[in-house]
Amino acid sequence: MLITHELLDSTGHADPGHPERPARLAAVWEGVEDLHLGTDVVRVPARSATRPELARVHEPVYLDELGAFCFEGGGDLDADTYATFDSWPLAQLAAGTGLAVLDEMHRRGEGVGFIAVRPPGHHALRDRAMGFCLVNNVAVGAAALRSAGERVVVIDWDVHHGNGTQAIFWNDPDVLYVSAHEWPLFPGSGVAAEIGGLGAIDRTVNLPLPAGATGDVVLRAFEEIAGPVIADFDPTWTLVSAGFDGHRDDPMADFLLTSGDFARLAQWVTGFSRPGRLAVYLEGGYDLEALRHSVTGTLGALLDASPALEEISQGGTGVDQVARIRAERHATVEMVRAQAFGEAP
Amino acid sequence: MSGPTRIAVGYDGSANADAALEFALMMASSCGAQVLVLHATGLLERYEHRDVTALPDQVAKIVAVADFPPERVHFAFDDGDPCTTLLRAAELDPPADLIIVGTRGHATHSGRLLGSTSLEVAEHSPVPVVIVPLQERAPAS
Repeated sequence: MLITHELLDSTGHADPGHPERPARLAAVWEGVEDLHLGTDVVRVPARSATRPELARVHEPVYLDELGAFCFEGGGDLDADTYATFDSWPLAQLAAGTGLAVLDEMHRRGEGVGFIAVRPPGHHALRDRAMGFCLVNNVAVGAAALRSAGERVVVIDWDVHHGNGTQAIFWNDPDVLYVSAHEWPLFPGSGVAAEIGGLGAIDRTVNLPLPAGATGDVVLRAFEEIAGPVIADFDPTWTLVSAGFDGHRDDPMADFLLTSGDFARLAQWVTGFSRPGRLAVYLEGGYDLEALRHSVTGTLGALLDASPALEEISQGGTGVDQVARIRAERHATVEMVRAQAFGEAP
Repeated sequence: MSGPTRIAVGYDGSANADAALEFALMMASSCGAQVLVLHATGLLERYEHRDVTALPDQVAKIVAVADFPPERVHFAFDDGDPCTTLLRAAELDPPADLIIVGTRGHATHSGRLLGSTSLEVAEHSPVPVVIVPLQERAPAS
């Protein structure tokens, strides 16, 4: 069963020619319709996040500034990120609708959650918009679960590192952040040696892979490096920051993934996720056809459907990087533990 | 207290960035500092295939006009937004110990903190920050 939300009209958050555009959501819902789920779809009402819910992960002064900036008509927040008069209420609606889906999943105890909202969130920092992102939707969700006593793993397979999510939970031992992303690439963070703060050593797993990486490489990095950390963490909830800009047709980066690869990544996620405790948040993805088919692949795998998908991709660059990343992570974790707590490496 | 030894300056090719660079070169001349010129490569720059290959030459011309030793200037493209890349410069090894930025680059903003790279950098930077308004260009040598 897919637990999602009513369709959101996000047309008020738009900037002519900008790739993060309202048409993305239409493509996403076409991808859902391609699964022909019929009555196996539950749509909860959308709602806005409250200020306390947002303030778990954002500085109140930032929220005030963002609201005022939009009320005055908006503009460019940086070279990449824009806001309009409607962006603030839409950002609150995006984050709150995610919470509504998580609440419904908690109530039912079954199903797969899907939160298809915009603007996306994983670059948004505590006190700053960045990379098309205003409010960190997945972080708002993770923080809500965290406050209810859950242990949350965030799996981020957007082609860009989710620097905002990482920073927000950098010192939180109850949130494990795992990201596979192209590197070097915007935002420039996400090297293997970033392993979490002193309060959460080894609770951040970064898998920086080169341009040209294929699905088998990304999956191998997730399985071999993140897999043991996740098993040790034993999460009670899984949230996926599902960006689809790693697709080979996406203009934003140079991974070579296909819709079949996103299905395999989703299958891997189901392997450690508890029933009824897995929700997928939309992040990037700017080629509309690739976005549509990648959503179909991801949700199809999570719901045991069998849609027609592109072939998985194999043999790309980066296989040799996996061992290096694992070694660098291991050495950093040991060194930081030794320095911080006097533990012998 | 000694002067700065390594100055980071943000550069996006705008007139205001030119002014910031000229001011950085003037300061570096007076204290013998190195100058790290940083261009932040953002999402849209890649998406729109913007041609930024001329930026190093543009910087070299300004360095030449300022009669500053070119071997003390290093230009780098860095992935990220301008604020993040400048703040990251203060964490390099060796770190920048002064950041210089123009009041505004290509982005527009209302003058409030949000949307202003210069004010965001000033708020978060662990090292001193100089914000150069467009009219405050360095005097000709």
